[in-house]
Amino acid sequence: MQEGRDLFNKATKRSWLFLILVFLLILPHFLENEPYLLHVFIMTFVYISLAQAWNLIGGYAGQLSFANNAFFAIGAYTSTMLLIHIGLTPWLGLFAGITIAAFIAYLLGVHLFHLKGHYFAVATIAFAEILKLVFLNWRSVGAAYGLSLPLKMPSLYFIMWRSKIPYYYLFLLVAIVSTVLICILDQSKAGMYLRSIKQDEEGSEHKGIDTKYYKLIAFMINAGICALIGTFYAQYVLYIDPRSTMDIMISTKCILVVLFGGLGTVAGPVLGAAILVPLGEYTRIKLGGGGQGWDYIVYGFIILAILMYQPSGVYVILRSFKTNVWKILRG
Amino acid sequence: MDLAYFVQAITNGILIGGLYALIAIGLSLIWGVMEIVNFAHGEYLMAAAFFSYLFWAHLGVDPLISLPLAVIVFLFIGFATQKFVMKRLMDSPTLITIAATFALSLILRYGFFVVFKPDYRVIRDTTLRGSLHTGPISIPVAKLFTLIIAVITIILLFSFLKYTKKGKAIRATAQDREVAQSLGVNVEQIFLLTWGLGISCVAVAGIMLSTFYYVFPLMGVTFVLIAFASVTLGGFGSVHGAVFGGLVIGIIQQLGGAYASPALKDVFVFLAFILVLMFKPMGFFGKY
Amino acid sequence: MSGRSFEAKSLTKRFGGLTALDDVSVHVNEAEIVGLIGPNGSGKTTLFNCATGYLKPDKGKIFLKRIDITGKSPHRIIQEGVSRTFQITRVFPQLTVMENMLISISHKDESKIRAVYKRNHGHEIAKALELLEFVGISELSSEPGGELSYGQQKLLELASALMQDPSVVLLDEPTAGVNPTLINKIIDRIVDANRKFGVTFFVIEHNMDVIMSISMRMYALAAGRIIAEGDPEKVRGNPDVLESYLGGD
Repeated sequence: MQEGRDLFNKATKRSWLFLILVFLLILPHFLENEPYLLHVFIMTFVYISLAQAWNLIGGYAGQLSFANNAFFAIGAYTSTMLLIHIGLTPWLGLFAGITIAAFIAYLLGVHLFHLKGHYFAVATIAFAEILKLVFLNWRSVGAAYGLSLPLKMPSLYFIMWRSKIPYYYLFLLVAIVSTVLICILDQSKAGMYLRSIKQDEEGSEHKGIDTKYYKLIAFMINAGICALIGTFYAQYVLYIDPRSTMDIMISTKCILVVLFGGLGTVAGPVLGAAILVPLGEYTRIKLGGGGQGWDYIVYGFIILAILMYQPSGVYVILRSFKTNVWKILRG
Repeated sequence: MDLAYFVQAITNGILIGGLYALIAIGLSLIWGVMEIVNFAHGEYLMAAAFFSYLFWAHLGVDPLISLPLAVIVFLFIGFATQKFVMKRLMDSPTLITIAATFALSLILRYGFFVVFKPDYRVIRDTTLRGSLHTGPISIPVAKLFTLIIAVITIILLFSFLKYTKKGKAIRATAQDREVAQSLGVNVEQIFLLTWGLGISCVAVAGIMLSTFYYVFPLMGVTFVLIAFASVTLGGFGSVHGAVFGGLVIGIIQQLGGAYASPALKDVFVFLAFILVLMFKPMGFFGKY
Repeated sequence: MSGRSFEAKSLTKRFGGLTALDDVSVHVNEAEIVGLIGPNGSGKTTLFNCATGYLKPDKGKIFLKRIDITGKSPHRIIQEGVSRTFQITRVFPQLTVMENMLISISHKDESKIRAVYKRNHGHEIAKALELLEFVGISELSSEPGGELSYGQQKLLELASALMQDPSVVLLDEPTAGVNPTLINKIIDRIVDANRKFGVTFFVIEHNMDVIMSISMRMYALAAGRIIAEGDPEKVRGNPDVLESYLGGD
């Protein structure tokens, strides 16, 4: 696997990344009059971050969590409530959101990690649904009506702007940070331990690895990133309600993106989001005529195709494609 | 609250519990025999409900008559699912099989959504209209019939599993696939049959559901979670458990709705679900 | 004066009505190779499972260099210095041979917080290579564990067991399922590790030739009880021991 990670053209890889980064940084200048395209990019960055977060618990640690939407919503609601009731800047509000989300992840992990595969998955779904039902009926947080964020003067302090461009940079930054975080973890001892836990948890225990700790840490970091995105997302859409923030489709999309791109790889979530999110938006416009539906149908087929032909994800397809092209070029 | 209120809640619980048991049985069968969690189970329910609705709306056919037709059609749909989709993924890791049935559910759910829009549809004035009254307790005829049909279906299924050769083969495969194979069981055929039976059970549930509930593309979501809760409570791998689980969940749900708040009735279901997972993950009759 | 690296005192373990271990007392002195024989179902693997904390004994105590480790969780016991290999190899298939070695380092004083961002130190990698050389598979260090032959996996397990400088290595049938040419190599490495590095081994084996050639002392287990102990020749020749094999198997 070390060979796979350090491609022979590491320098080329770095220069490509640099070019893409530069491209992404100057892109908004050309999209000033295309708010919809900016929105698509923003949603792509959102899902890159969410997917990297899930990648940690699902791709590396091998725990099938459907609770991402819950953590996302906790982040969004916490910072928003603090903003509405005490005017707290979301920069501080997000810490509260992250802390609560991480704490809940801890509780969930402690009580549910002993469950195997699908049982754990189904338990996290149940948790997310309970949370949604509770929020739908909890008047203090707006119940089904949701919360509207108070409009402030455009500022960094309140993370509120009229144009989409500052949001674009904000979410791009978070996407980069999440990916870098996963990259660090991937190369670290902890990353290796998570992979060993995924392959054989009992065997890892017998190597002296504290599997409970590592799974919990992965879960808590996952929750924290989701909560962070939740806060920023609330600041972006200016209105949150249980149905949109706790939609199980958010969790599902995270999982599908990582699955499609490549579980347990750094590039997987990026590739997955970069392909699936714009594709979803495109199909929705071209085929849907406004209503959702077509994008999910397309996702469904794409996922089935990937699962049946290359379950390791698109990243592996690209890598072998690259190796084959290189072989051909070399003669 | 008085006794009548309590009895009504219990009655409602049993009535709906029969339906839940029927949905749970299909799920439990597929889970037990092939260790595949069918996340698309609710969508088959929805498809069957639409089947019933369309026959009623466009052909004027009463659901009770489209029922036997649905059983056969959905038996084959179950076969098709196994043959064309799940077969390739049989021994993949959990994540893959879950993702596959999830992808299926997306295709089905939003396929219907795109065609039929999110509108709620209702079947009216069928042979099952009205309610029976015994004292202060009211029992809608449609729901009573649902329970009866559910019981009949469950008895038929149990008899099939217990007394027929194929049924015994299914049980053997669920216990230990390799041993069953070495005893001459055609495991491929068993998988086809299991999917067929599982889906036709949930189809019966869907048809009956359409006689008293709204029919709409997104209806599968809630029911599949309730089905999971039922299977969990009853114990994975046990079809008897699924029936027990369905009934208990039905009662918990209706009691919760009656005494706390109708909007929160599902919270009790999910809470029971999580508690069982935490403290008695084998369920009450479980084999794993 | 060598002390007892590993000791089990009056160990009892029941599963429902079945008594898998009945008042079992064994010990392994530092730098010894001690064998454990017995027919199938006599409780050998159960003893190992209790020793690693995978099972909690109903009665009795387990000591590692005088420290009571009874009832501790498996990862803590391993950290205290117990290494264990399995009857059927348990190599991590999608980790490289080197990674299989690196996850076997001593985790006792490892900073869990730093583990999140730190990579493996050079000296850990060097030690892994040294041990891989010792068992003779260093050229495979970049191969995924799953690609190794069964015998190579056994060697890898042995090498990784030594990574943490364990107080005792519990080997569960190290030569089971291995082809004859590799058996000698495995025996050779075990003995070499013991002579050169003073590694303490407690070995379960079915292959009589193997266990006789490496053991300094031996225990014989039957139906959960120790029926003979001491000099390997004497134990093997013990009529009760012969009886247990004929009756049990």
